[in-house]
Amino acid sequence: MVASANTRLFTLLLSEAFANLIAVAQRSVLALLGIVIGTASVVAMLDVGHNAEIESIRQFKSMGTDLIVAQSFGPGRSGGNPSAESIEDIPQSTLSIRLATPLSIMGLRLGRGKGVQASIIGATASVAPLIRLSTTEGRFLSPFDHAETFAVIGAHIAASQEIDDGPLHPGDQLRMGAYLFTVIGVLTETTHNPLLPFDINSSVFLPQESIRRVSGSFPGITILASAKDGADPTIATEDLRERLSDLGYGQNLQTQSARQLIEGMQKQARIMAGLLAAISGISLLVGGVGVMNVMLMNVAERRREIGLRMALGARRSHIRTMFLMEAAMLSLAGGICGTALGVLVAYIYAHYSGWFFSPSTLALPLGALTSLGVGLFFGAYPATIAARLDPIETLRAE
Amino acid sequence: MMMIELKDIHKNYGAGVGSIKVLNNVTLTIERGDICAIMGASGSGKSTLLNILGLLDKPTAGRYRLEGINVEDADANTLADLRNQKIGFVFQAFHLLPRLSALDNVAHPLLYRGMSKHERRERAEEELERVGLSDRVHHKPSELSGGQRQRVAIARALVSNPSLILADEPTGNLDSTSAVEIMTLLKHLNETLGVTVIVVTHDAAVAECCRRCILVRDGSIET
Repeated sequence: MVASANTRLFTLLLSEAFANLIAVAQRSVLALLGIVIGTASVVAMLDVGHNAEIESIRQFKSMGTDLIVAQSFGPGRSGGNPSAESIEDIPQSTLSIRLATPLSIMGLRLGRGKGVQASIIGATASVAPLIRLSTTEGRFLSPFDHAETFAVIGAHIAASQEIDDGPLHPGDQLRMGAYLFTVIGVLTETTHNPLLPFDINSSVFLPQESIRRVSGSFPGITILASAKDGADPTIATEDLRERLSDLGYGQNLQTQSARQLIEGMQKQARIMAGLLAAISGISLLVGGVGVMNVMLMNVAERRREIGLRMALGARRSHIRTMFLMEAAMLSLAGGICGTALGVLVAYIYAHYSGWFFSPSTLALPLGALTSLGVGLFFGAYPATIAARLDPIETLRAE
Repeated sequence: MMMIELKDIHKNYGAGVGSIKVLNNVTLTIERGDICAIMGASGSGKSTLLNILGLLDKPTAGRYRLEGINVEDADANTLADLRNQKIGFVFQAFHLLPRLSALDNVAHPLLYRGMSKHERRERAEEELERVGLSDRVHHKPSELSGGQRQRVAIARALVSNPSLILADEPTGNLDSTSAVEIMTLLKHLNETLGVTVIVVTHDAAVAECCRRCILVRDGSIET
């Protein structure tokens, strides 16, 4: 009974507080503005951080998150590299590996004059499913190409005007060193995968055995592999290392898995987003000080009203609640507007960055709740001042 | 039962050597249904006496019984509730909230009883009718004359069915015609409702309207 009466009185005080705010609408809007900007920046930063994280992961996902890259640096073992077959056979003897393929990668400037920097990659047909290569024109390398002077070129190389009277299409000739290669396929343009040591769009894929024509000797070898579905990528990476060391790649072998890189990037993105949100939180605090300022002004201006309310039978707690509610309502309204504004800002940012936009699930409740918390925190002092006023003092007729 | 019993009331402001005695050994009883004036020069302590009677201030020493209730032991919340239920205030400066209509000003004290807006307004309308302002219900205080404002304030004092009305210089801001109207109204309410009325005033004409006159001089009472 008592509890329900209290709730009832609380609701009545709430509507009283609302009416009070409406009465000083202009000032309320000013206080609101600070909170709106503060909340908007917190929400926008959380959202932008969230979307940046999604975006960086999306780049990987286009090529699979199971990718493992092993690179050998420094001198390889004597007697040249193991045959492509011995690497492609790794999955048969290793449970956790689905696919493996060797690549020989070297850099070369193509075309005359300044030319275009390209990665020349000696590869076999098995690389295509591993990093999801597809062609827009022509075909990819096949097991029958062996030492042919065939080349499959990336989208940017094909489109370049500076190489051999480009754009290049299948059937055109491409000069590399002393050799003329025949373009047999053009690759679909892909997003950059930070795990790969080359950019697919500016790469030229040659049959594994042909690369010696360009390089003179075998360049260092890079092994791409993918872990089986459900296999622990850490174990898969270990297994791959082990198999490679059996094949003579024990030293100077560096492995990195997509999962590791994603985790690292996610962690970084989260730290960044947290930092940004913390910085924008400062603007929310400033907004809170604005609310306190406006509430202190309200209290000072309504001293007589407060005294009157007390004379008419308001308890001090009623006065405190009423002013606290005014501050909370101001902040909550500001928080809701600010959240909407923040999402809008983040959406516009994502739109112009060419990102896919998904609002952070954390940002919405966080924006509204922190603004409410800020309102209660900064409203507490003015409300206490109001509740401590002496009715005799405030009602004294001038 | 007496409406008000004051016994050996002292009120000092400040403590120690510099303390000022405002009320000195005031003993006073006022009967239920009485209407009396408190008169005195400014600084005589009559406002302090009124504040103590209205439970806005506490005496330094002495006993105060309001309708048989010992109020000097009551905590702040109980005092607020007693003010809300038993006492209606009328001020010299009216103290109406300018942004509220006459109706909502009158309804205001009932807020602290947890009454809904609808109930409050219904009660307020009755009281406005009683003071003859049925046609001014939705006017803001700024749209009313001084006499009308004070009548709204009286309606507000009545809305909680108090047993005591404390009026502090209720005619101080009014012209003589309105002053007579207000005093007539207070007297009428005292007679018809049986509510106890205490009026603090400078004005001998106002005091003459009352059945009893209490004179305060230098913090003590002369009857």
